[in-house]
Amino acid sequence: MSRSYGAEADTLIADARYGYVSGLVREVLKRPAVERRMVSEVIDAVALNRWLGIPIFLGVLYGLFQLVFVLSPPLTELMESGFGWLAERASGVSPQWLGALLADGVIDGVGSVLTFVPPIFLLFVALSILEDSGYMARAAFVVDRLMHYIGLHGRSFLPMILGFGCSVPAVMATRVIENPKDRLVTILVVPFMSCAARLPIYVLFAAAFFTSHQGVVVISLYIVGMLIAIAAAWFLRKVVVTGPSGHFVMELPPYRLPTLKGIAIHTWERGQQFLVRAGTVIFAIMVVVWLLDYTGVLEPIGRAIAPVFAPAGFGQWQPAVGLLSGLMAKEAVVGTFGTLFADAEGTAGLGRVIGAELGWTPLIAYGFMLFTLVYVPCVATLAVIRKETGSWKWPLFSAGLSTGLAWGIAVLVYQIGSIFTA
Amino acid sequence: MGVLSLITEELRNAQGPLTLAEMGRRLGIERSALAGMLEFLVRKGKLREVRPGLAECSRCGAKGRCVALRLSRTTGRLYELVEDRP
Repeated sequence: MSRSYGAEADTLIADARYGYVSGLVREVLKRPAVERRMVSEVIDAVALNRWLGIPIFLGVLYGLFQLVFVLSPPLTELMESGFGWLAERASGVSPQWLGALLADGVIDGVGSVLTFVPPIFLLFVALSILEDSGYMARAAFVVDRLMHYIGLHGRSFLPMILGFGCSVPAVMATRVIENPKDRLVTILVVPFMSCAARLPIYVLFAAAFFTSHQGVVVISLYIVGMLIAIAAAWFLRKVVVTGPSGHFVMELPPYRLPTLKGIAIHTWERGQQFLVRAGTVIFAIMVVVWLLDYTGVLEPIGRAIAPVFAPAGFGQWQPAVGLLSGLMAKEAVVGTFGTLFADAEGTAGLGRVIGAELGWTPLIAYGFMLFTLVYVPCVATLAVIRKETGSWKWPLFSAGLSTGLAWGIAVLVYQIGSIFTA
Repeated sequence: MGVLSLITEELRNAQGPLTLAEMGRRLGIERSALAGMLEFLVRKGKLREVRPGLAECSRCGAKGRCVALRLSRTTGRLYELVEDRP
């Protein structure tokens, strides 16, 4: 029998049994005229629809950020006034240099990053709700289906969603992709997903330059990040890492009502790493930035790099050193601005002072945000890419690709935008 | 063509990933019966269940606190056609 049918005997027997059972079920199972469908099936009929799936996902994303922007300002203002009070006390400490270090370096620098704890934690609350409700699995499926057309699939979007939090665990999460080529491509595109560390930069400039449309501006950056990730995946799959991808069938969990405890635990798991970074890495960077500024070393460094960014409209030394410190951790971009413009009051105040002193327009600010979205991943991400790929070739490739792309996009946006705003 | 071959054929010809419910509808198979068939195909080496947290994860210190692992588990089971593996 095995020879005749070209299959193992037990497979043929199982096949016949399953065929018989399926036929029997079809014949004897009487379904009610109006079939009662499970709630999950009803929602999935819409949420997973081939045409509606992606617009619904974008709508959910939009709602998520609206929630963050509506709820976070009062909490942010509270934290700002707290840090303002602390900085005032610290500036009176003697000797004078120590007071300046504490007030301008530590409190204004680290404080300007920590004031973004409310929006970041609210973002994590929203992500936890999506995850615990079961929608995250649907989002992953819907985007995976889209990514199939560009030759990348098989849980690629899961690490990419994690990239909204931090690229480091997201790159590690690519371990769930067993196809090595899909995994490598996903590792390389994960840093384009806008991590939480970039959110303070967006909130800072969106509040100052796009007062009435800040939510839309920030969402546009997240969408641009996803589009770049998808386009880069397509390019890499066609040109750099070619080869076949797998075919999948996915079991989706039923929708559930998230519990407060579950949301709190998952939010804390994500958020604690932001707090730890602010107290360690960002603290250290801010002290170094302040010392370099205090000793007059920072400005020449910034002036040496600044001309590179002139075609993008932000060719001043302050954004140049901000972007340089962002290599260590993206939050440090805001922290550096906080230290360099220590006299500014509050988040919106800091953004406005930067705009006034550097002569920035909304177009330049948007180009700067796009640059920070796309340019070289932080050193921790590069290190984990090195660890996961086992070679320095890929983190260097990632750094080169992202920085080149970031520069090109920022220049293009500024140059084309200038034609229309002139 | 037997029902098991229909499953692998459907998967091979699908334009993108499928959900278990979608495949059940297309082949006219009850979802619970389909789950058993997929398990059989895994045992026979025709499909592979993609599971997070295998060899690499056992070496990681995060274990139960791993956000990536938890998130990947929330998506439910995922089966890959074995012959697609490069």
